Amino acid sequence: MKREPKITVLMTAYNREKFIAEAIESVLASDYKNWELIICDDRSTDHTLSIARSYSEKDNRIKVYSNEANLGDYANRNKAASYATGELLKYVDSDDKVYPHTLSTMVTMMEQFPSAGFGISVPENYTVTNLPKCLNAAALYRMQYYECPVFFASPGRGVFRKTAFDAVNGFRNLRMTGDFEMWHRIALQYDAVLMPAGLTWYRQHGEQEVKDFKHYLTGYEKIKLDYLLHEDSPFSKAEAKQIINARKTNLLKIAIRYFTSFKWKAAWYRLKVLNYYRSNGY
Amino acid sequence: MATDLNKEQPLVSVLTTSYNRENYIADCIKSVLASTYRNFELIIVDDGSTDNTVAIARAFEKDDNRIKVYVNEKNLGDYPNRNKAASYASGKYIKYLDADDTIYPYGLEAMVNAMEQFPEAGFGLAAKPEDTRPYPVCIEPKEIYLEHFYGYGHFDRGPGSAIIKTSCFREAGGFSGKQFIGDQELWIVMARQYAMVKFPFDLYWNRLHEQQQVKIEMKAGNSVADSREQLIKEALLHNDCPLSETEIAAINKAQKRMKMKGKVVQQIKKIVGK
Repeated sequence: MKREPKITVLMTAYNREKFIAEAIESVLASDYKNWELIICDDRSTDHTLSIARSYSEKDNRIKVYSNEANLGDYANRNKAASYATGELLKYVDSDDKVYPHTLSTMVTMMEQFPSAGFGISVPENYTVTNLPKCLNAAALYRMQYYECPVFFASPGRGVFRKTAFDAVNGFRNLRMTGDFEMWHRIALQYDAVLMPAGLTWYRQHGEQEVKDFKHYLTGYEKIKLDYLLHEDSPFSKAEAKQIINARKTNLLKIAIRYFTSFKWKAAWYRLKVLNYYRSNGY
Repeated sequence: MATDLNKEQPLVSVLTTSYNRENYIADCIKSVLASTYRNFELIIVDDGSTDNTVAIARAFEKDDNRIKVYVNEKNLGDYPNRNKAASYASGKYIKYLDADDTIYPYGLEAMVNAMEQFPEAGFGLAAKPEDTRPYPVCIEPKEIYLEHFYGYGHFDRGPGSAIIKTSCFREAGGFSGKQFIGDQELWIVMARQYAMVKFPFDLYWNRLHEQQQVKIEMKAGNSVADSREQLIKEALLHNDCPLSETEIAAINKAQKRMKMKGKVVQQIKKIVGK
């Protein structure tokens, strides 16, 4: 008999009355049966909470919590995880959806590799190798820094074993970059299951933080520096330095490309990042 | 919608054409057998391989009566062999899975479920996700054509990205057999009369290696690009093209502008010496 461990779907919400019903319905339509859904509302001022409650009244696998004060993105994700009773944690944002096969696929892949602490989806159109595959820290870091930027995955592209998530104390409360930092950190302690892309659906709309990506560029580079030079980093100091230098050259190239196509603001942001490296002695 | 186990699943014919694929075909067959979707037949048509491809396929055939292996008496070539494989199919849908690719366990299920939700559709293709509507989504002939030119490039998909209703495939006459562009041509013909379902990419794994048609095509270079362009031109001029005169004019204008832009960029690159 195949083991069917419980998976906790974590849905954080803030003013998502337009989308949350669809998100919940998508979980209900899963072909995997052993799940619970935890909705953690971060003090929405619209009807998000009442919509969520209308579902939890009908289905006791759904539990709705409302924070006493607004916690913000990643703190709320940790809060939601603290209520979880499942073996696996899967974030499904209140504006996204899962396909019927998403939960069962992720559970099956995690079951295939008991040593792994988390799973992460590759970027779209990554076709180098057949998946799923189990990678240790060295292999995953190598993939991130030489092959394709897998750590830019949003929380919804991953799945966590609860024991691993708790052992690393969840997300740090960084704006925007919390997921990027989390992948770097958890990879140092646990093997990862590399999963195919396309397992969840992301809605693009005007109320998302992603749009302000450029404001957080320096934040991303800071995390890179921290982990490339981390004492547990799989890279040697010399190799880390090489990666940093390559990144700097690349940033300059991007800045020039933006500059010559009259996107001066975008070029300016890249130069600011270069300045960050310079001021840190690189 | 999740597959309703009480409802009868329609039969899907998975069609694998092969030519000297001894390194890959076992992975391919195993991936189909691991499908969550149960009601399929796997038809393997070998195009006169000179290696162990057939022996490997036969070994699987012996253990599983859903697998049928055929060997062509003489080499037919890529698209004619695909037509041959389709002629053996008895399923409601045909799904090409090349001998060097593998399908994910949920791939067949997701594709069939998508098609079953839209009985009016004649075929389905993997497409770039939409921002506001989750897949599967069904679009009409006019939309298929418009989307092709405005950002989606539907007609550029390969057979592996598709699932086709067998009856519609036969009505459309299958692949015409032109090398490299046979798939593109089929989508253009089918899109004239049938609605199309869009589903996400990444339902199967497209292995990249040296003996692939894509790689051979790259070496063939401009001649293929030219014949593709010719095909699109003819499609827009065709009597049954679902677009209006003004839409076609707008597309032609946009295409021209893009070509100009490409040329200018090329010239600049030459001057900058990159």
